[in-house]
Amino acid sequence: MDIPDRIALKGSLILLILFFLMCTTGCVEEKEEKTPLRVVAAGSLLLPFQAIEKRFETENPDVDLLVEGHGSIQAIRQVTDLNRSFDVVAVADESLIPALMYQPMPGSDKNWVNNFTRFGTTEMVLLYTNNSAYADEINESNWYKILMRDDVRFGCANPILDAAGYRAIMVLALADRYYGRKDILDGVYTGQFSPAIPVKTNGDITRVSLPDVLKPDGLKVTMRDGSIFLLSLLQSGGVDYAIEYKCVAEGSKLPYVRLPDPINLGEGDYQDYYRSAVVDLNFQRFSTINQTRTGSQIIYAACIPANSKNPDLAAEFIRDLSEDNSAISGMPDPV
Amino acid sequence: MRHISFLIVVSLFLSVLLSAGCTDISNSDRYNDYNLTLSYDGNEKNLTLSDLENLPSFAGNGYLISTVGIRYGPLMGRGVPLTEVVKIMNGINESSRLYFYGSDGYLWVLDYDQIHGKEFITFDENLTELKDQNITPVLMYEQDGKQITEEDGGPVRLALLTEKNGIITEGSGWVKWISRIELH
Repeated sequence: MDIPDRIALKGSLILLILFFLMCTTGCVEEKEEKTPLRVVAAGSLLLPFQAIEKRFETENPDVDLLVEGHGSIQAIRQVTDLNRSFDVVAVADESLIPALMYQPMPGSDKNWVNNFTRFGTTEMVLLYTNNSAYADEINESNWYKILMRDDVRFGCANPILDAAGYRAIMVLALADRYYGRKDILDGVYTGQFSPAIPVKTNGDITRVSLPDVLKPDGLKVTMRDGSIFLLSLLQSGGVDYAIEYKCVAEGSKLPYVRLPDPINLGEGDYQDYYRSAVVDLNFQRFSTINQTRTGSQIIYAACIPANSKNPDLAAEFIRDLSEDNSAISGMPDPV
Repeated sequence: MRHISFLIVVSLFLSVLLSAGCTDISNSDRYNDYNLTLSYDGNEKNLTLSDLENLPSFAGNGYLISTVGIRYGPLMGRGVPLTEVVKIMNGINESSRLYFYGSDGYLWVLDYDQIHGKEFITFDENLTELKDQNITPVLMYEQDGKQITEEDGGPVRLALLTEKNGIITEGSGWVKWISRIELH
């Protein structure tokens, strides 16, 4: 090799190295300065989690907490069915975690999770505005009589999509039992669809069978995909009342009526009583979960999937959730 | 000179290799293998993506809001109206239902009126309900002029399109990764 060739070779090598560096730099993600902690949470937690996020990031300045909201079942499916990586799953129904996540991860002998942490509880309340019909007379004793009036409009979340939706049905079924009546569930809800939603009573058990398509008939009931829309529906005057989580009601600053403990799904002492309200879906909305929802105390729970990239941080976050967060608007009560 | 030529060839090879690493993996294989199964009256019929693309199509505006209030869109979509799909399934009557299955195990059901675009809940940008909007439910295969990405529910997604823009629909009907439709 002569000298000019050697110089050309060296130059080309340098160019090649530079070119290689340029290409690989384009392919490598920029190093994130903060550690992302990915949380997928039930929609009813999104408001309080804004404050939790701020606090957690203040306490852990190297962490970027990223919260994504879905209905509780969908939140779990992001991990188990859609194969997305999250560090924490937080849901509004503790029973969903063992049902959907105590199962092996594909290609692994590990379960998605083997345990979970209960971090909050709430109860169902009747939410309204000062402009709602009969707002000046409704109270804890007469609420169901007012809901049954012809000119009162009731809002609910779709029970096929939202836990608050099937829990509202359970509240009305339990109200029939508690008040010794047979017309509350029918008058406010199941009789307001076309065709009417079938309800069977066997002893103390009330079983509501939801059809594959739910269509309210008339103006009595208005249904929305998610309970989050009920707030704007109430505020715009589209409905007079809606059954919602107390923590959501408190976050909204709207007035609400507390319901008696035997029907509000918030008191552990009434667990057996709550089980007498059952809602069946008439079709398998998700292939991975059964179609029956049975009344139980509302417990919020969180877990760390086995494929979490930051399990220690995730555990710290869940510890934060389990502490007294009563100062945070919209946060469920401690268990 | 031979060395220089060799280095140029190596450089070109590396550039192709590395730039391939920077580019999204093509959907083409997945999309070429796509099969939509239609099940009706005891029959099953499979449609490829090309079969769908050759059916009459509707193009319109799409905009949806999830159950927790997250908005997706606005977007422009194109797809096969369900009224065309049911023709392949020998038609439907007023008690008919279509069961839409996503490949992820999700199921959603539309009745006769909904298949014809009626009785969907729609909102404006302020989430105030809008009455009597014209909706065209479609099997959408194109979003903003391109094949729908897998992340957006491609190759085929159930979508609720409108002629007017700014009309928001509820997200429950936007089933991603449609793999099977059953007539009940």
